[in-house]
Amino acid sequence: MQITSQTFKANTVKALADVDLQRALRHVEKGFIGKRQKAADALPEFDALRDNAVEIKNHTLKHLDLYIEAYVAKVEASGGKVHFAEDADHARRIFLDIAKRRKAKTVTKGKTMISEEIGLNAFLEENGILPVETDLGEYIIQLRGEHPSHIIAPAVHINRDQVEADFRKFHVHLDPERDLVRPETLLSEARQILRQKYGEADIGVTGANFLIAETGTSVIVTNEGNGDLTQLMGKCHVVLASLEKLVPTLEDTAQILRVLARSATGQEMSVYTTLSTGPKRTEDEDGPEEYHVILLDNGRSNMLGTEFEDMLRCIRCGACMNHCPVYHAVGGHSYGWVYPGPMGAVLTPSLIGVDKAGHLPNASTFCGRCEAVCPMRIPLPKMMRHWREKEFESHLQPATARAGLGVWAYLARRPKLYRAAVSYAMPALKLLAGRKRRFRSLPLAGGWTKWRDLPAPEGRTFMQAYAQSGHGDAK
Amino acid sequence: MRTIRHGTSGRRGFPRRSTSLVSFLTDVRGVTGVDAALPATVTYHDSCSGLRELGIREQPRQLLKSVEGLTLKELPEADVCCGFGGTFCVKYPDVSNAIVGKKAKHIASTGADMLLAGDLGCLMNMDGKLKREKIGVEVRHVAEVLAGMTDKPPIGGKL
Amino acid sequence: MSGSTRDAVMGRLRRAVGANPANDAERRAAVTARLSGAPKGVIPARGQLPPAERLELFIRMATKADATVTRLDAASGIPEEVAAYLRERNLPAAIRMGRDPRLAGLDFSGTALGVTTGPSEGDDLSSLSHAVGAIAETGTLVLTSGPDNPTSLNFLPEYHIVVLDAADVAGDMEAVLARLRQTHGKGTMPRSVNFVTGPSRSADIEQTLLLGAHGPRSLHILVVG
Repeated sequence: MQITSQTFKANTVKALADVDLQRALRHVEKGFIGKRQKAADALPEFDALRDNAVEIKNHTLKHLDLYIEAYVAKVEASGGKVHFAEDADHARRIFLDIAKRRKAKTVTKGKTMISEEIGLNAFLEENGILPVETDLGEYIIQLRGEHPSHIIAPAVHINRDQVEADFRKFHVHLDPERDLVRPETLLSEARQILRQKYGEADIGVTGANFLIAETGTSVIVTNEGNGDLTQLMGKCHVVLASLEKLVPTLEDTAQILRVLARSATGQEMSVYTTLSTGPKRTEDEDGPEEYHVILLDNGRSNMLGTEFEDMLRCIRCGACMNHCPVYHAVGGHSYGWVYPGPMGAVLTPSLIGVDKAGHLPNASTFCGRCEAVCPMRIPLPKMMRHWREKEFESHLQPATARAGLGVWAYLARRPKLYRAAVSYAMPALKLLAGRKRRFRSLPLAGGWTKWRDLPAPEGRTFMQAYAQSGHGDAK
Repeated sequence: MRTIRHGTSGRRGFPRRSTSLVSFLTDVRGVTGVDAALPATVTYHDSCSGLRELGIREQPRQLLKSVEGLTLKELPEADVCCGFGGTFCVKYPDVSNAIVGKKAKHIASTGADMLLAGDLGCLMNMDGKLKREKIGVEVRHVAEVLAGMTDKPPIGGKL
Repeated sequence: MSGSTRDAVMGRLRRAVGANPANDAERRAAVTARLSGAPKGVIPARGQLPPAERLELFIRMATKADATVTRLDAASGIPEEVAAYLRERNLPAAIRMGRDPRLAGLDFSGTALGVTTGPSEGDDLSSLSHAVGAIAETGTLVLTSGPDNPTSLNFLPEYHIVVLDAADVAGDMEAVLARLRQTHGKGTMPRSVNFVTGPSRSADIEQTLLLGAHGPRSLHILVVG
């Protein structure tokens, strides 16, 4: 997909003016936050489970080479095949090889963000293969020619009336008089249309929430059941997953599952958690004939052992974006690539480069709500700061901002000088503000005064008043 | 001030002598009430750094409840960022405005006479937006109320 | 191609984690210990109950997840209960099931039900499966693939009826996993293990919850014993 992270600022201006988007975004704030809190409160061990989930992932990452070895051996023992993919292009070529060998014409797809990361749909179309998204949200945005705006609720930026209009436009073989006002009827129409596709598919593609080293198993966690039908009915099941999805054992999976659904949708457990190991067995009467895993690196191995390693704990629950005031304001597409919100602000520069994604770690108020709710306790603000520092060091910030910050940093480390500077600046600003003592515009502060008044400083600084008052004692 | 314990917000190269005034009063000095009066309805915004880095939530509310004549009306989504974010608000003014715009609506919805917070950045941001939107809510640092200084001009914004 | 990529990726991983000949044995021992020991971690107290209360919790949690539950004293009551369930919903008197001996032994002759066996092609409205276990903590059913209970029966029909032996209800997922390991051998799994918590649903349109997205609209559990 085309990267537009470079134009983040322009993207946000557009998003803020988009009335439909703003209407849709209200559901994020209203829906997810309370449900997560309720689910967390209902499980006294929730925080202990978070701690253990962190331990499990940290241990796995420290031994990732060995767990991948063990995992690959188990997949092969169960009759499956693991393909290592260096990058997006390589992953696409591996997929095409499988598709050509299977003479595939139709590919059904469960929800997978790795597919978005490698741009699989456009590539398949170029090669004469029809990709069919089966997750309801993904299906809707495929009709619209869009990309997901959220990692677990891909169509969260669209309203019901827009879906209705799309269905009328694309499902032209159906009765134009049919009632599509209720979401229930929209759902059953999508269900009916996708039903035919599962069985027709030559390949079913899914992502993976976990890859289990102990058993060579891939795990998907869904609510609709589309992922299960995709991997069950397609004649060949291809799993797209990245390196950091490894966990050691079945028990470790069970631990992390307890924090995943609660953090994502506020459910105790998602409806379907499915463990798949290899292709159809001789005695089986259903299931795929082949089972492949495309194991994607695409920059992850370069994060390991660095200040960004913690990000590899991410389980893609979406809690960070659900709680992010910036995401609430501008939606997922503004971020300009696959991963939006705070996790995207850290991951995107790692995967596509800070030169392209430099805005993302800057466009944060550092309010810390993402870190507070992250089930894997990923220090997202800290890592955004790492990116800011790297960006600053590589001179990617405008000269005025660099100079201003440089002066401030110099003064901030020297409290006496700082106090002196402020004590001169305050009266000067007061004079400039005039009789109303408020700025409606101020040079170098246009960003502030475009939308807000700025008060002129008044009286003495706190430090001056404190020194002169003489009563340093609190009651 | 030299004796104040270290806050957790110390950054590299920055003097590690910072804490919040309110948690200094309650947690360090053991203050449980103040000798102040304010016959007004106030609402309180939790600043992000205070709430999530220093763990300040109950302390200001506890002290405010001891102010004579004061009614505290909880702000909807009091724990959500006001959109200030330091350089964020001037680098991404439109996004910042959208966030503080929501905050201003919540503030207005409480019907409070006065908005309090413990962070000057938040205060200036919210005050600037309320003034621009002509929402008549007085904005003050929580310390001004606790110190009985509401007869003087507010430190976070002018009336 | 993939072989050399594998070497390249693994080489980068080893460097990043600081693997070297000196710590190789120690690192391998840590991994082997975890894989063989499979430590349990934090088990929530919620499901740790004596059998009767555990079953009650299972029923409560499954109901909370929008499943319906009926208790039967004996397996012989299953045919009549299935017939009644379909009748009450004005559904055709037809059911598809796998070759599970526990279901094959049931006598449907006293009902008007047409019973077919084997996997579903997608045109069955109702199916009957037998669970291998359940998790009280979350109200979750556990089903495994195979000719006894083909996986397609869990997803294609609109009404899924699942038989569960009361004695098979475990407190937590870890207990179920331990049992799977006993049945299938350490490190070996059935092709598919389905943890099912309530009927299929989607909230993709305006975050409004709707039941019956792609899988069953209704999940009915018959607890026997």
